[in-house]
Amino acid sequence: MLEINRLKSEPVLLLTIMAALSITVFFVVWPLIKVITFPKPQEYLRVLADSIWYQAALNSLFMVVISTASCTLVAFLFAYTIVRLDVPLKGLFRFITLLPIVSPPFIVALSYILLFGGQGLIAKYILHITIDIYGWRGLWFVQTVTFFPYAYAVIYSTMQSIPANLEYAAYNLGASRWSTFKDVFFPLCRPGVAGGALMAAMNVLADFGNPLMIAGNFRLLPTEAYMQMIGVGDLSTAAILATALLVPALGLFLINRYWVGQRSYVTITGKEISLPPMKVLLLVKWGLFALCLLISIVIIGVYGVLFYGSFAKLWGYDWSFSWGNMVYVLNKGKEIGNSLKFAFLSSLFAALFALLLAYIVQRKQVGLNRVVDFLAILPGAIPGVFLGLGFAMAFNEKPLAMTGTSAIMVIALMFWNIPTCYSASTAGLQQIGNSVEEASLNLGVGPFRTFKNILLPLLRDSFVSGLTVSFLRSITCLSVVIFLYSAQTAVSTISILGLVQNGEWGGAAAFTTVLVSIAFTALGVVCFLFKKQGKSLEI
Amino acid sequence: MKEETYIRIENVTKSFGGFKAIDQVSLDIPQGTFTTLLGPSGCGKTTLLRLIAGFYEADSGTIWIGGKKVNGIPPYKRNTPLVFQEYALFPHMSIAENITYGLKMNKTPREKIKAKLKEMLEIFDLENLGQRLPKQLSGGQQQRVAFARALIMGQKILLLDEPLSNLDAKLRVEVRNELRSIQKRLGITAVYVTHDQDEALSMSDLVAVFDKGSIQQIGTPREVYFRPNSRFVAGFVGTANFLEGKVVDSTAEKIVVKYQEFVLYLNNDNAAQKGDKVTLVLRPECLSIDKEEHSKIGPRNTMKGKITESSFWGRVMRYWVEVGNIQLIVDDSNPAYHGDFQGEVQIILDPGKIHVFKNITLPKTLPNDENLSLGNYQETTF
Ligand SMILES: Nc1ncnc2c1ncn2[C@@H]1O[C@H](COP(=O)(O)OP(=O)(O)OP(=O)(O)O)[C@@H](O)[C@H]1O
Ligand SMILES: [Mg+2]
Repeated sequence: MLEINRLKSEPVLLLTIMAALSITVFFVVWPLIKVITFPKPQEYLRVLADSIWYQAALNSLFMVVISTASCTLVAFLFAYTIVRLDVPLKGLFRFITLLPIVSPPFIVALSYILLFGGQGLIAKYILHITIDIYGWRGLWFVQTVTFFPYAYAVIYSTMQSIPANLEYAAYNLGASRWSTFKDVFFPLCRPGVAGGALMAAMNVLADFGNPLMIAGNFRLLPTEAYMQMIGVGDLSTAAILATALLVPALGLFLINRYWVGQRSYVTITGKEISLPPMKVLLLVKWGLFALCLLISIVIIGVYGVLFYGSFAKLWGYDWSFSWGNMVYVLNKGKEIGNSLKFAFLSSLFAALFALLLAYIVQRKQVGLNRVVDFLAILPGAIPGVFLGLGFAMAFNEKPLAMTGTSAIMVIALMFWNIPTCYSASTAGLQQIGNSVEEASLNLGVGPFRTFKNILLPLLRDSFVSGLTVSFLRSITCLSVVIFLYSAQTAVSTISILGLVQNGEWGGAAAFTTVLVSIAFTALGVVCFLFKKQGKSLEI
Repeated sequence: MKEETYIRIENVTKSFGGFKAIDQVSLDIPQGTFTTLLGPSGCGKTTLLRLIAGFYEADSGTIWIGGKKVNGIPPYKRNTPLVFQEYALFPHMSIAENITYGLKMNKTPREKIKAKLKEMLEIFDLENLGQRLPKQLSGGQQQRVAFARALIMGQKILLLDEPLSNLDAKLRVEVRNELRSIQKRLGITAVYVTHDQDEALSMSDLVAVFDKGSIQQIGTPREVYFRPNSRFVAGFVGTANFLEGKVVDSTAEKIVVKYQEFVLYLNNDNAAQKGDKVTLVLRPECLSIDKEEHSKIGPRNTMKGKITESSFWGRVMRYWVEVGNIQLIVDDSNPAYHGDFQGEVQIILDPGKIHVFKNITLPKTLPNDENLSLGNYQETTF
């Protein structure tokens, strides 16, 4: 009650909160409801009873289990090597783990086809064999390589915060190396491992680009939802499949947020005495090093093959150098322009809107905070396929018909990126003590000028890093936009998919190379600007 | 003090959830004085200061500043510069920008800002640091920037929330003298929050002792030290021994108090009467210690005891002396290289320095029952 009185005395704040809340509900909750309620109940029964879809759900679950396991294992070994071992090439390994952020989600699949497919470099040219690469095995490999970096990021940050002196203490008390690892180090890592596994699982579950390219006849929920909508035009089935995908995705998300997120045993005081990590057996050390090196080589190979493919005359037949593919891509200026435009606008809007939401939640203690907070992170739980489908279904009629417009592309990508920007802004705000703002108010400066003079400059870094990550995600996004584009608003990733489906490997490779180069350039520029100010970009 | 009241706090209450952080507090702060809010951690000192500065609104009660009611006025219109405990310097602005921020924002002419900045940099000995960023300064320098940023506004009031707590002991003493002299020179009304009794006693014109959201006693440093109105105040402002006795005889000036087998002749400051139960506050430095055989004054105002423990602190020697079934803390303020007291001793009380209050003024809850049963309550920060 007190709160309502307070808000009454701050009408601007009240209006702002209400507006922000309505917008979020309209663009996040409404599409959700639209998709879930579109099919009639009996249609749900029909679809759920159909063994084809049942199999697709099982397949999705199967992929989540095996790919998550392999991602987590690789991520753990990678993180352990980087954090705890004294080996060369760590810079390279770190760099490898950053690559997926700047790459389209199907990049590994594409390279895999270029290497092992019917016209594959290795399969056809080197080994002279024909293998069927389409199916779960190939997908498993591709997903492992694609998604282990997401698990790595979480595991790495947990592992890094575990002081080496704890292990020394255990060792000192007479524990063997193995039992020190098993009883001290690993239990402390466990929250990170769980969090990393969940990150990987969420990504694998929602993965769209890789299955579309190489799953072949192995049916999965995201791709089937897409096929039903685009191929068959059966909206109901598409909606039901997307909902079937949403439920576990939401579950994983909630577990991650409310369970794993709160179980960190390690506190960072900044006062730890950093001891050199304990020595491990040489065999273990170099074994792990070799493994990391191998994975790094594979990933570099992924990019190398793409690069090669971009400049090969006709992939599979004539491997001589040619500018042909590049010229072809550069003629596709419109798609590239669209990609840039949509990515820039959507990430800018996402960063601004997320900043507002974060500010309301962090600084204005009102009871609606938990709702706002939840809505701001909710899109992170929604698979891209679902979000795309939701926007397509919710905004093709009154009150807001936007089908085929640039607006729907920008807004969909914007809300897809809100959680990223929101987390960045929230972290930024939490670093700025309340008292800095209060000091400004105290000196006679009103709230708006305080926001502009104090908060905005201090939040600039987190704002820019949120913006950058969003931009990179948007420009490489396929799943959301594939439901929303029209001839006028097609973007690069859509074109690449088309080229792949037509077997135009060279064009696809060249287009991907251009896209990745753009992303790298954007990231490079931001990193450079940060570095010039003596800061580092946190992604 | 007969000055005019500048800040008046009238029956102010502030709760967080169901918890009353400030409970019916009233306090008059005279113009141009240095008033300290002293109390243990969590007692509500910061809350009261923030109520004055307008960061919190009182649930009930009124706050007046300079004769004007300020309830409902937002912090940026109150003109109550506050020095934050954690400094709260703007990390992205240089020292000069930090200090002049408030003036720039209220559109003070540039030349005037320049002159004032120069003055502040001089006062606080920051002349060559104007272009640095806060993180490039030491803690003590940052502290002075925080003072300068608040003082440059030229307001008649200055609020300080434990501003010295992040400094080392030596610097703390230096800065507090400096601060006090600036306050006097500029005639500012300062409200100072601390939990450090030394700071409170040495700097203030007026001390308000806080506990659990309410004021226990308001008075000059001497009053709260020598005439505490409760065990809590006596124990919090310094170290004290307590004896609970009974008045066996009284006149307007003198009383006779019996405590166990000891008979004490004391001044009657509190209009105690025969039959009253009273508590005696004995400061360790107001007791003196002597070998038993040196007994000069005879049995009057002396107590026999046995030293159980002693500790050498440099400027004083502290003894724990068992008297009857309680233990008294006694400080010998003139220790020597040789010749600590040992074993059986006698303790001599100076009637002029012993404070007596009637037991009805005991606070609702006693600060620490375990210590009280030993007969003394000891503040842990020295
Ligand atoms: N914003 C708040 N919300 C809830 N409780 C609060 C809030 N601010 C203070 N409190 C509570 O009110 C009480 C008084 O807090 P306050 O900060 O005024 O203490 P203090 O006397 O300044 O203590 P310290 O010496 O430790 O700074 C504490 O118990 C605290 O937990
Ligand atoms: Mg405080």
